[in-house]
Amino acid sequence: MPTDEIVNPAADLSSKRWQLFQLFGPILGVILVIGTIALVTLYTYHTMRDGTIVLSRSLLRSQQRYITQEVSNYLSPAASTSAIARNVLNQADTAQDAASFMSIGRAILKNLSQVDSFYLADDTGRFWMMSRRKGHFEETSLQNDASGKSIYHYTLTDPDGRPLNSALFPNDDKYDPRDRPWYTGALHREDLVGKERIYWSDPYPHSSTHQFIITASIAFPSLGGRKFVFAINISLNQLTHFVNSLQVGHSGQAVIVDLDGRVIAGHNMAALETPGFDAANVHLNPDTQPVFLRALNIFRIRGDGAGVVHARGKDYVTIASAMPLAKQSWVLLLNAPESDFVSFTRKIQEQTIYFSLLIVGLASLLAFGLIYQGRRVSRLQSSLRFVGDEQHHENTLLLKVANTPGLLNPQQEIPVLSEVLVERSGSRRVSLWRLLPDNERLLCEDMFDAGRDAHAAGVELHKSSYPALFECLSETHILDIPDAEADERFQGFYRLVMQSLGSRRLLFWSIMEQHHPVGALMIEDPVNLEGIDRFVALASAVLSVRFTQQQKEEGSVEDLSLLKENTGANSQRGEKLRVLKGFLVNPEDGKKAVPEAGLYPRVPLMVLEFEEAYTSNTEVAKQMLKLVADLSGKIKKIAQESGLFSVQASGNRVVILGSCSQTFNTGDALRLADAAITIREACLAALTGVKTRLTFRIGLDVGPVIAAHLGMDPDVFNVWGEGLSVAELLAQSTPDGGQIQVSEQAYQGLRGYFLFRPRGDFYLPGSGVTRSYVLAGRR
Amino acid sequence: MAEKTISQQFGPVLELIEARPVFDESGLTAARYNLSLGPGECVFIECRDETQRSQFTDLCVGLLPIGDGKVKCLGLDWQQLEERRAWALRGRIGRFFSTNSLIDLYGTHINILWPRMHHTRTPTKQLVAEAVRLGIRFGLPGLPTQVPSRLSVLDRRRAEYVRAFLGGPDLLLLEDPVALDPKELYEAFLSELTAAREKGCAVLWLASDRSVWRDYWQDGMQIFRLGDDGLIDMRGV
Repeated sequence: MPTDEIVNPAADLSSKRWQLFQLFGPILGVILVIGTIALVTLYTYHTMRDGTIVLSRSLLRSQQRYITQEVSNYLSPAASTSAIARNVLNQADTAQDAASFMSIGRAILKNLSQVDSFYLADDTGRFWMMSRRKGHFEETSLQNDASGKSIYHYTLTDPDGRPLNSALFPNDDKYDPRDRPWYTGALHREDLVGKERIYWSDPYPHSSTHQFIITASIAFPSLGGRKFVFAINISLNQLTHFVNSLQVGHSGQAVIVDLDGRVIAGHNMAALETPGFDAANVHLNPDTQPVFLRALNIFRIRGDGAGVVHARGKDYVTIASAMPLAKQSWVLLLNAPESDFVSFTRKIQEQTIYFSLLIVGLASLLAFGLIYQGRRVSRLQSSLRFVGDEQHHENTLLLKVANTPGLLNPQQEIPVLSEVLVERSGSRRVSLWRLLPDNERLLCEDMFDAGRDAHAAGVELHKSSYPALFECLSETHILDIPDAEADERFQGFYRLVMQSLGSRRLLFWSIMEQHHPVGALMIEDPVNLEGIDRFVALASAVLSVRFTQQQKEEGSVEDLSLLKENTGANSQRGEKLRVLKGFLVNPEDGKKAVPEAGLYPRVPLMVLEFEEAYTSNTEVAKQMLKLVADLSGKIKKIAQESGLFSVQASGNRVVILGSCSQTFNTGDALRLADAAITIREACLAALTGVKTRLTFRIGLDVGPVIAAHLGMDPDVFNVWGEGLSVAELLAQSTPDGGQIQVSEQAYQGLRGYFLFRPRGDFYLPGSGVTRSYVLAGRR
Repeated sequence: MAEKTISQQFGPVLELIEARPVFDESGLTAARYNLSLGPGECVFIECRDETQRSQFTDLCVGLLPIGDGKVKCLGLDWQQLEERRAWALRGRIGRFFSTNSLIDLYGTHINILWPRMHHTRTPTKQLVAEAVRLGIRFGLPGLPTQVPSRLSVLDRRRAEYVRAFLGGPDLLLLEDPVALDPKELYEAFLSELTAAREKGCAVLWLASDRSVWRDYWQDGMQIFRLGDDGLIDMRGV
């Protein structure tokens, strides 16, 4: 099965979606709550802000009306005094009119502080003026004397009109009132009616009083048929004081300007009474008064109205309106920062945000609580499902074991037992060991490697080599060895068995039959130990029955005398061997003993193949050569003692023929198999003592070969054929290193004398589906 | 690592339980079909009708609608499986079609690699290495890159073997996959089939002539005949 599928069909995504919802649902809920609160807060803020701005505009409008009224009142003496003058100064005698003018002027100056002075002129060039002078009043007239010379006549009076001082001065500068703008302007409006008749001059600084004044003048005829022009000067200094004293919001300002941006009254005119101050040329400053300037520009386009101007990073509420009672070109401008009015909404806003944060915090807490609870429930569900699955799994495994045919029949292999133990414990390898009747050896009946999905068997442990391990057989409980290499009892076992796999942890369980050990069960690197004892107990019960039965049967197996006759040092049937080039054990013992060239249908032969026998490291190569020399000597000795036909080394392989004759002799096969076991033990013993990756495999077959003599003087005896090919293939495909794999043909002849376990069915080209066996040991 | 269900680990790989195809939509008889195929098992079905063979394998991969019963693969019921998972499950099945299934729009190598590239994240390099190994095993010099029509009939069959065996499928559906000649290919096919079964792959082998699997058949293997009466158990016949 592919391990890197893009879509796993076994995984149901709906449960994952639910898990995701459980995780992200509350978070989404909190985000929604936060969003809703933010939206509501924003909406409230904008509503309140708009309402406040409307309110502030109304406030500013009423303030604007108030200012307009105040300014109108301020300038009202111009209209009323002009009307009075027009009606009073209507005598036939000019002298009486002049006296009346002075009386009216003095009375008004005494009562209206904003009025600075009065003028009166007629069409003959005569001029009268009433003005203040340091708490008194100054009456000035310009008339021709008897000689016709134009002379100023100054009289200083007290507030009641009593003369205090008088003087005469010639009109050296040829002053003529008829040239003055207030005179000509009034004459131009003579034909108009009502307030339109009044001429208003532009504001200008008065040279003698240092007042910033505006002059209103009106022309009217006298009874004598002359024309008079009456003018009143109103000081704007006090208007500036008034405007500056206005409170607009917390920090707002007001200013009166004309359409050109020239300031009439306002903060710009604060230095009005300073000598040298050019009051007639003060304009709105774009740097310091951008709000007024912007408001004036808007007024120029839209006329009267309120607005919001953004300047200096703030919003300002503005009101601009024309001054209807004064000159039409004057504009009243008011502004105030929006914050002056909406600051309280901001405070409310901040409080709302704090409350919202509190609510969000609580909601988050709740959400995290929900997530935590959801995760707990999920985990609980998962663990329940896991327990259910585990039980199902366990039941399935038990069923699998229980349904195995011949479970208690020792003649039948049951690889399922080790497979189930591996599956249940999650371990890397499980091995089942049987104590042989001599109580001196433990024979591996089955060893299942989970990583390679392969079974192996046949390794023997001798009590003499592993006494501490054999002592553990009397233990009645599971031994859990965290590090087998560090445990003295299992160090040897680690080197022999575990080191090649790289496992370290070992579970050891002695299999007992009526308090006597009959075997052992070993689990390497287990992962899932929960409830494993039940399985181990079950397996050991089954194995106990099988091993006990096996021991009983082994007492009554076939006569082993044939094996004894044909094996070991006592063998009388072995041929005498000679050693020549190319052979460890040479088949030639004189030309007559050498078989004829030809086809030999059933020859017992085996191939011993070494792996990892090559190294490029000189030191390692030296050690290996020593080991190889030792091994080759042992193999040769074993072959000679077993009476084998020939032993030929070729590369990393050793081909061993049990015999070479046209008639098959079972004894030859038995000697060969016995020699194979002895060679395996010798090799294992030799390899256990040294740290090397060298390993070996043995394949054994009884099959047809062709024998031939190659070359001349001397010739070399050589064999090849199907038997040799099969033996090579079996050697190459043994389940694990150090094992002997036997063909079905060889098994047929050897099964009564040796222990085997079937490895499985294999398809072999030319042979079809065939079986192979692993030679476990001697019976 | 893809997780396994209990059924995947221990249950049948392919299971037909009283499955009755909808008659109108198939060339398969609307009989009730029962079949259970465990991991590593090989089932032989003899059927002379090519259409029936093809329809039956379609039934096994959930492409043929059924009226009654269930068809399960790796413990998952095709009818209850959402489409995305169903196609992913089909990715675990290796199939050898009786008719030529390699398309000429692309090279043979794309035809071979495409299913694995579609269903898995296996690196292409690794896929190619495995395909080459299988190709050599089946007698190709490597991974063929020409369009399928430029290959000989035999090489096309080899390429189809590679595609079917590539990626270690859990189930092999083979429609008349092999002939006795050439012998090398026959043996290589049986060898790979055996290796796949050893790894737990279940095999459904449909053939028109039982002679092709007679040598491979062993006691205990299920053998059926597919005909107008449905699946008839031929063990012991």
